[in-house]
Amino acid sequence: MKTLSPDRTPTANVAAGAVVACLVLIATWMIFFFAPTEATMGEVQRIVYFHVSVAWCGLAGCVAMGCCGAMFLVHRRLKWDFWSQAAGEVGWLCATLTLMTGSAWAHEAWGTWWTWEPRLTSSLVLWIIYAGIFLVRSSVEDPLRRARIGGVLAVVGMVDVPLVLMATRWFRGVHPVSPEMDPRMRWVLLASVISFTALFTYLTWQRRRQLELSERAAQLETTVWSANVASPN
Amino acid sequence: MQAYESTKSLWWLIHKDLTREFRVQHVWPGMVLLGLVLVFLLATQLELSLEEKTRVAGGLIWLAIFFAGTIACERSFAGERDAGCWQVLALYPVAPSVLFLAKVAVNFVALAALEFVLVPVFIVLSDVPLASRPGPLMLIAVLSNFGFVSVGSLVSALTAGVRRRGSLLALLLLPLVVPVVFGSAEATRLLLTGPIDSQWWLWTELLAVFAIVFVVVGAFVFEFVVEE
Amino acid sequence: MMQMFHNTMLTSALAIDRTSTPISHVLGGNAVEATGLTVVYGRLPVLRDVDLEIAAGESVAVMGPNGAGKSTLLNCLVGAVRPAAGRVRWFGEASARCNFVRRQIGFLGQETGLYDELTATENLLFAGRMYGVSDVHDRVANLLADGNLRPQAHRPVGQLSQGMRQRVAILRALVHEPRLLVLDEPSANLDAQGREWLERLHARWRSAGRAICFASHDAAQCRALADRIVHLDAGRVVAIERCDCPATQLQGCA
Repeated sequence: MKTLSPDRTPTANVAAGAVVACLVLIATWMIFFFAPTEATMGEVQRIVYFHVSVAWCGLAGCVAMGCCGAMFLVHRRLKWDFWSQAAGEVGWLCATLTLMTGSAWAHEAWGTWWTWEPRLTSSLVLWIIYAGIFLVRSSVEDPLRRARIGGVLAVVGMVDVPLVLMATRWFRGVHPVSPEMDPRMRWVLLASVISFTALFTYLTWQRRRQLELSERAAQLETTVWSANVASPN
Repeated sequence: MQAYESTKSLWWLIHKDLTREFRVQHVWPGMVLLGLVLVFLLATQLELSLEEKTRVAGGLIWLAIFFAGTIACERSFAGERDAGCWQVLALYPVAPSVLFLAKVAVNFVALAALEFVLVPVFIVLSDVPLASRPGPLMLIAVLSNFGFVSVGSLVSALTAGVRRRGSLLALLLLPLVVPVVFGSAEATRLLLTGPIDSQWWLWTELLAVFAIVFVVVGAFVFEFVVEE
Repeated sequence: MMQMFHNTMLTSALAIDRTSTPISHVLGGNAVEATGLTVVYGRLPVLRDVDLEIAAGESVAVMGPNGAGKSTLLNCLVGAVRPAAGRVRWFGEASARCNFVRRQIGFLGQETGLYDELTATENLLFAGRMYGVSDVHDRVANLLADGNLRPQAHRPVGQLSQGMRQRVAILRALVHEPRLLVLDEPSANLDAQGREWLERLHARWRSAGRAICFASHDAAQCRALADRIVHLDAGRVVAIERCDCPATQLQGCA
């Protein structure tokens, strides 16, 4: 097993966290105070800024998980598996938030908690795919074997997602319509997507660091244990 | 020469699995029985007019086929591991992709056998004229089968050596084959309720794309699956 | 259209296959060379820095207590397990995925790897066909006769006794006349007659120039059959015992 790289100082983490927090705060301010109120739905329409952002991050997480999984399969370095798992976990969280915000918006817009709207449907499928992949990963104890199986599943999931999106878009003839948006709304949407992408990246980075440290601790523990077994005196 | 060797190996792998199944029916009876139970239950719930039944029949029959088909996919690699044969199989001088394609072919045959039983039974129980256009229906079946079994074989190989593999396979497989489920259901609905038009071809092409993509992807990633 | 698809798929299959075999490949010398083998399961090292060379025509036994890493070592020698560190070369070739290498290796694992639904003949025919044996029917008939299994040839393997299944599994490892035989506890479940048969086979393989590596708990059998005995403990080679002299020489490695 290759030695894990030494942990970097926390300064970079704190600085990055501060920047991300600022971006998110700015975007949140813009959502609630800069974006105009939508004519038909009123204040509730502001959910869309969060919904679209987390939906995008949910998809990005799946793609990142697949790409990092493929990198592990090629290079066989555990760091790629840590990135893959971290991106997948944060992406799964974003998929969950997509379902929640989408349901809330659907309830306000159409009086129903669920609708077969393409984005909601594909998010649900994506959420279940994530869940299945993590359930399989949790069933394998050996880190390298888990990384290999997880890598293959992540690649399969990544390839599957565009097909799922196509199928859900055409299902029942529902075609998503890009609504006419006030220019200020478009700017707010852009800001929201950028800030949530930054948040997604930061959370993935932190989770990756956590996984790496956890693996290092487990390796040290095993080294000490096997040294004790070899020479109990 | 190497293509000829690979083709021969592919043939003998398929021959081996089909011989095992025909001799001691491990998989097919359970799969067909589950399919029949599902078809029976679904057909009993169709207290609708013929027109409404025709609209939903496509989705229901394909759900029954795919649920029952997970059994075939699950046993395709579990059967190898149970006998300790998987390690021996992985050591033969055969490309991993050939092992994968052999399993895809065997599972395709299993699913086709299932469909030959379930479709007539469903027609009898529900009065829906599913086979009114047999040619296009068979095209849907062939493409759906390939898409379903390619993902099913790959996921089954991955989960075969994992704890609680039985429950994992259906959980993993069915979301991944959502495009196949949607595609086959919608294409069948359109086939039964209208002419073969561009919309029908759209869904059929989606099925074809899915099948091609996952047969190719499966063949390429299978070398990572056969490792221990 | 189907032919093109078929060819494309097979070409893709071959592209992954990496069957390129150097024509300048040398069959003599060492059948297998393992250097610095380290295998980790979970986070526990199962093999630690193991070196092993087996020359053509040499017989090496691997002994050790349960959990010493014998089966893992044998799995590495056939390329079934990818080591975390170190490397294995077969007949000068580095890749276990090379078809040439695979055709030279015969393996018997801890499980027989036989299909219970198929007969002994069918199991051997399948293996022979997968290895590309040309006169497979004759070869299988001769093997079954040699193993005294003709009366059971057409019975499903699931109906045979453990000892007969073990014989069939040994024959399966031999069907393609490999140059390197790796056998994990080949005499398990064999009766006295079966062991004698195995010892006769072993002598024939040696005189045919095959390299043999086998794991066993039977010290007497190892000393009778092997040129060297590699003693493993906790994943390390702790001693190498030479058996080709009247007085055995024990060479410590710890």
